[in-house]
Amino acid sequence: MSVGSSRLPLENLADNYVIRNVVGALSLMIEDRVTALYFAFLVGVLILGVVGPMIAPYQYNESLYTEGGELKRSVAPSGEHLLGTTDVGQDVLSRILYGARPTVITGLLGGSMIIGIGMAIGVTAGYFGGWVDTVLMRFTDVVYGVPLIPFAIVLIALFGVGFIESIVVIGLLLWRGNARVLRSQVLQIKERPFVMAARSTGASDLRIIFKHILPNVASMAVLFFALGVGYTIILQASLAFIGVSNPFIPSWGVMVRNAYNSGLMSTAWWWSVPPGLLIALTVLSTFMFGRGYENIAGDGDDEAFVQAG
Amino acid sequence: MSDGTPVLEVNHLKKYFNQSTSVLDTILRRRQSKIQAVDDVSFTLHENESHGVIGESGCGKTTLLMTLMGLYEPTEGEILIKGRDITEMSRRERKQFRSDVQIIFQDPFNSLDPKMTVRETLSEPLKIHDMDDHERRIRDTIEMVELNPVDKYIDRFPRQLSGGEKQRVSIARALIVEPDLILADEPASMLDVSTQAAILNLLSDLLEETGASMLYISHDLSTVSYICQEINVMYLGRIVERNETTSLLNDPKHPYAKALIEAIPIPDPHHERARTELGGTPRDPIDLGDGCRFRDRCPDRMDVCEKTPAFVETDDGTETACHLYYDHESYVSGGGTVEREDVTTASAGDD
Amino acid sequence: MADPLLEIEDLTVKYRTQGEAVTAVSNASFTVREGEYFGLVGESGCGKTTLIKSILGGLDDNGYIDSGTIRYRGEEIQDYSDDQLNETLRWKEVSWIPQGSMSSLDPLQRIDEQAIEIGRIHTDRNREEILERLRELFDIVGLQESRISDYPHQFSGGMQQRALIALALFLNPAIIVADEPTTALDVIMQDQVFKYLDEIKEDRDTSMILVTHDISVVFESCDQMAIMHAGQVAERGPVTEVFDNPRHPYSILLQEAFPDVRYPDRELEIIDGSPPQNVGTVDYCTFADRCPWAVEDCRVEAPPTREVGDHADHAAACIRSDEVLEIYREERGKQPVESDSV
Repeated sequence: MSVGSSRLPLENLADNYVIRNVVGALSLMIEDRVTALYFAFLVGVLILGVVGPMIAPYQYNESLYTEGGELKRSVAPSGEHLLGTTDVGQDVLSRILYGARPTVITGLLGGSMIIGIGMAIGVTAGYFGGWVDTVLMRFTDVVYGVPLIPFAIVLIALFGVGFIESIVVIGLLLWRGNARVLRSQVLQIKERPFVMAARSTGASDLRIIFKHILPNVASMAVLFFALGVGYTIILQASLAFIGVSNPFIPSWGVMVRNAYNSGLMSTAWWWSVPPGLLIALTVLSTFMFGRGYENIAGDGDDEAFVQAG
Repeated sequence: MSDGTPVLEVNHLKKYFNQSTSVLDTILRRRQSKIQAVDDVSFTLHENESHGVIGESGCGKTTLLMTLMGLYEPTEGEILIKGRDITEMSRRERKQFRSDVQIIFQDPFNSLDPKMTVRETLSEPLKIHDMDDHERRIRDTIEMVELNPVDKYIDRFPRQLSGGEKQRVSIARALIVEPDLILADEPASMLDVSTQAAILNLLSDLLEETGASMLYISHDLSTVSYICQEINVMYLGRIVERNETTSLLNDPKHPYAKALIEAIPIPDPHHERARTELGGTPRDPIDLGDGCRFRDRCPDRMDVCEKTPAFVETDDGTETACHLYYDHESYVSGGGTVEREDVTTASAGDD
Repeated sequence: MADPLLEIEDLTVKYRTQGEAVTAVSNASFTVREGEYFGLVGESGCGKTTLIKSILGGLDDNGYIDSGTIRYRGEEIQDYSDDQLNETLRWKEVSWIPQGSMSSLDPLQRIDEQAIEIGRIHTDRNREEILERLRELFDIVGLQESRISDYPHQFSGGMQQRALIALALFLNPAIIVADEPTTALDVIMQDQVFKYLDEIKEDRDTSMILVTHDISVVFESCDQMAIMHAGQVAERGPVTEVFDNPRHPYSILLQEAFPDVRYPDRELEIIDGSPPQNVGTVDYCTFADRCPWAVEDCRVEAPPTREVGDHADHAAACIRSDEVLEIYREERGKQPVESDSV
């Protein structure tokens, strides 16, 4: 059976053509070793996000004392503390495990906002054209001009420091990059004969958008989602770094910030390096996964008529 | 429907586009240039007829097709489908008409949604037009276009089909709603020659079977003459000659039609054919004004060609728009009219 | 008979893939002589473009000449390096107008600037000499000399094509290789271009290899031809011989599949199936699965190319070449051809 038409046990679900496309692409992707690896890493992070707190040996905010009553400040990695402790005696490993969850939330929430708003604006502008397009694109241009940090600071001043707030700030701005690209994709797809065929048959605009346009920008949208997840994690970490986010939620970004603030960034490497490394790997995995998906699910298989040879 | 009402009747159809203007032009109130893609085209198509429209790129045939299909709004003129003027229709009425007229595109690689299976592509028009019994209709139509066995093809994606197979699916999509009129944009031209004939034969047979009519546009006279009984030759937005196929090929009247036919390569090394004497290329279809549009290239140009030629019938049944075949003076004084729009004085029609 | 200019002998060209190599051209042989127009005909995927790319070292990165020889004026050139090709062959002896070449004119450069570039790289003429030459060539292809300083977009499609031919003639090559030069052009423009190509042949004795899928153009404008199918040369010879006495089933059916405006009602032939993708060594007839007259032996080994007909140049690669035409005529005459779907 060819890819894409494999039947899941739930026939109705399988017939749903969105699910079929995504599942098909995912299974194709697993076949590519390297992309599968990145995918596995991401799944791992997701799992950590769920079970992290449960498997952590200590509480994330628990200051630990030695038998002698001394605070275990910046203790190097040992059997008891695999990743050592922070400057206030907290177990780094536990903080990492606890920190997975906020990181995952950040990525998913931010990525969804970025692609959600980006698609809505890009597809609408591209499909309807005319004044709708002009208005939306001018709006996008304005948003382009808004600098992230000052905007974040202003919003925080209005709504207060907060974890979710910091993510929303990012989501509200960063969709600007993909809106324009999605719009041009839509412009191209709109002109293709199969869309014209649907229009000429009498399909409504909504039908055309949902049945023809969206599936054909899906691969690009997934890529942008992956990029959005990555960007949000990094940027949220930066915002945490400058104090815009709630410093008590130990996302990996916050950990790096705390390590920096303590002045022990270079000496207590077990504290600063692991979260930084994990952020980098997560972001890398989402980027590479997104690219892999685009390569596989994109349809570069249409050949020109008069081919070479 | 054999009451003599033509399936398609086009009367003095015009489709103009505005050339994009700059802000400066608007400020200085410069009159917008008009691209006269289709300019005063009229013809009639009855039940079970296949007519061709041929012309080179830029002659307006694709715009004509798009306008007939309802994808463009006509600037002027009437389009009557089974006697009803579609330009006057309400939105709901238009939808009904859309199942009467279907279109087949040229490019097999882009005519089908790459994300949809054959079944999904074929069920879409059925859903839009509230037709029931999807599975049976889909299977029957797939069989009609000779994709056998049906089960082999019904769940395939376009990328799993050859060019010829894709075009068959396009044809199936057009036929599944049982239209009266098919508009075809040279669906065989991007296929290899060995499959072209199969597709053309299929189309021919299906039209015969279903009684539908077809308007086939192309730039390739060889394929059009294979499948159409009557041919319209188009040049810069106007029909310059119309005749039954064999008569047109044997005895073209209009100098452009003649040049076109004489330039077709013949697959026979023994056949001596003189190369075309015609120089230059068609002008841009912008602000063309009065007069015969071919006169700048015509070897038989006369002074009277400054006046727009009327579309008249010659003794042997050819209809042509050329001053060589009628006397303009007596025509006009006899009450004949030549309809055209003088762009310099009329108010701007819109897109 | 004129001297042979380009001799292709038993040429096999392959493309590396992740799996086994794909064979695009398999044991192809033909000869192009001085002052001769040679038509290379075939449908998409038959290997004709790969073949001519291999002549001038223009293959994609994963393409390579597996075996066989290419001789130019007697010298073997299939192993020439890029530098050697630049020095001895490209533009000077053999010039190439690639497919879709209307886009191979740099839209940001005027035509004369592009000519100057070519002239500077390949010759030591000065600017004035180059422009003089360009004017000459524009004249030959029927373009106004004053237009040499225009941009490509200021020309129509047909004129762009002629400008490309002018550039191709720049260094007076012995052969022009043109890949689908008129495919995108309307019939009248195509004829205009060919008018000049005819003249060039008359006046200058330049040879041309015309690669196309349109057999009518080859029949009208070429002296010799070869028909390719899925990498194999099915038949080759003078166009009149191939037309009057086709000896390969593909050759017979292909000619009958082309519409002829002189006989618009003639029923066209349909060829079942599609050309196979060849992996590895091609030791079978690639047309066997589509051939109405194939026998078991056709799949056992690649059919040898045998001389057929009366002319020394006429050859076909079919083990039944002596009987297929007669069988076809009989079948055609007796009952109307059944058309099976593709």
